[in-house]
Amino acid sequence: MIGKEELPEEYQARIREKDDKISELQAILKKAETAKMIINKTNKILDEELYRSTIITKVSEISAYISEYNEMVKRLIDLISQVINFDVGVLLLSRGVCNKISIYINNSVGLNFINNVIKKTYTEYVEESKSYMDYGEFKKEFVSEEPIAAGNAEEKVETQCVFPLSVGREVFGVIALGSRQTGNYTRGELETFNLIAKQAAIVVDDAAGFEVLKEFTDMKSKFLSTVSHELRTPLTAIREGIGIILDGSTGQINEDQESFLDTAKRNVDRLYRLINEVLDFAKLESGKMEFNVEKNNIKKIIAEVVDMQKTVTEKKGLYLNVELEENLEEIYFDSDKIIQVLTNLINNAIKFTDEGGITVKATKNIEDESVLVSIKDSGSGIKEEDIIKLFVEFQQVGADAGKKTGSTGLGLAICKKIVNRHKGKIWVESQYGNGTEFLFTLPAKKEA
Amino acid sequence: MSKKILVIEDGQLLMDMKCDILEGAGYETVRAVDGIEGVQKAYDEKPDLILSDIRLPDVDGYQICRLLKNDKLYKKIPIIMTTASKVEKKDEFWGLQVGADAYITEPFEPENLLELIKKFIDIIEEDKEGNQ
Repeated sequence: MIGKEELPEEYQARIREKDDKISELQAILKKAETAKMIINKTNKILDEELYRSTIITKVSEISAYISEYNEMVKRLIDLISQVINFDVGVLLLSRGVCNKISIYINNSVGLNFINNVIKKTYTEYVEESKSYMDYGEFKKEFVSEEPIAAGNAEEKVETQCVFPLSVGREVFGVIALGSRQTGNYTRGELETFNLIAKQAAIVVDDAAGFEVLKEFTDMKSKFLSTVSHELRTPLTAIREGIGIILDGSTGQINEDQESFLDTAKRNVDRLYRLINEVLDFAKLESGKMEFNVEKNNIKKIIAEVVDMQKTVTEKKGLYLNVELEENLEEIYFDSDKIIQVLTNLINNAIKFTDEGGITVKATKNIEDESVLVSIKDSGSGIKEEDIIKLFVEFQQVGADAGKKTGSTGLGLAICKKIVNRHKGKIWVESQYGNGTEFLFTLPAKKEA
Repeated sequence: MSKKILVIEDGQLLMDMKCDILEGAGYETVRAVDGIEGVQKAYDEKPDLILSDIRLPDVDGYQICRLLKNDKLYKKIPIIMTTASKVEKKDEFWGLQVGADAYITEPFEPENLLELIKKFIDIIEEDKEGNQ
């Protein structure tokens, strides 16, 4: 073997030249490899960015679900989970009467972990919104199906990113992600989350509007039923008391006393009826009213109700006709509730009719075997602009309607709710000055 | 231990000037004359901070930035972008979009550059102390 240094100078120079070429080529090769790596990585990043932008666009499509707040939150955080890794996602909303913390569990974690994420989210919200609300005032709800893991008390929140939800300047909530893994999110992920949060703010803002409305309706129903209950109890005592004095079982009363007590009893009875209506309505609205749907004979029920009203119509000099189709079979409905509807509609007809009379009809629809009931009067009729107000609660038609009838304006609203619960329809046909016809349908099948 | 700064710059004169300033302030410098070399050295040398020109042959400053800022291992390295022209609105927009940490326009005063660098180095130090 001959060493390099033993070669003639000329050869050594050529070898050096070759070596230089080789290292130059190696450098170029390394550069090419790096370039390839850059291209691959950049492509991957671009792919991810494209994927993220499609997800961001999808956020705006969530608005289709805004009527169901929890469903909306679930879909929203679900979308985020497709682009960003996290264990628990939290959406805190504070809007009017609506204070909620919705929790979405992506990977099963312990309760302790969840609580830590919520607390951090809450602290962040207080800081962002500058409003100090009591932590306990937030209703906590889980929106995902993933169960909470048992045990695992010592799970630390290693990474958490929080973005405020705001439209304009007002911060009305925050959305936060918590993770057990260390290592922060990449720029792209945070950027995406930020964009999603901005989009989400608009969607959540809309949904919160619905939620606030729902909350108000719930509050109204609760208020109505509580108040009515509280009013009914003492009233029952008063009613009973007057009744006992009136029937003479506590001793003889004179004519004046009787006349005063009579007036008192009439008014207490009226008040009692009104409160019952309010209570019924509240129950119907909150869905607490129980329906006892059974096979019933509509012909029999109509005949019963009409019989009860006969005395009133005769007193007023009105006719009360019944036209029932022969082939009416037994159909499913709650007899007590339908009696209430019929009584109410016939009562109304009597109230607003001074001449002529009332016709009650029942016919069967051959196609789907549903029953159509009609109560037609020859009264004054309803003005066109008033028809739409008819079935709305607390609305009374005509200026002196309330005074004349002494009602709450709930009767028809209750009828509508009852008929609707039977999956039937109720409507009115009327021409001002030419009588009114109320119609409702009851489906033949058991659907309620 | 002195901090390692990767300087990516295709102009020989500017490169020498920048490195002189940094070395004068006690930093260790690593040079890269184009984008590909810049990325290579960023991965090989793991610098504490990167000072990169926006306009570079092959792979430009934005691409370097986007690449490193999307990499979990390298995203914490601060990147300061330099540009010879006055920063255009468009440049700043894309720069921030890909995650550059700061901008400096050439020509710049050495003190300004050093001040900016020190700010980022201090943040890194604080983070390290915080983690311990």
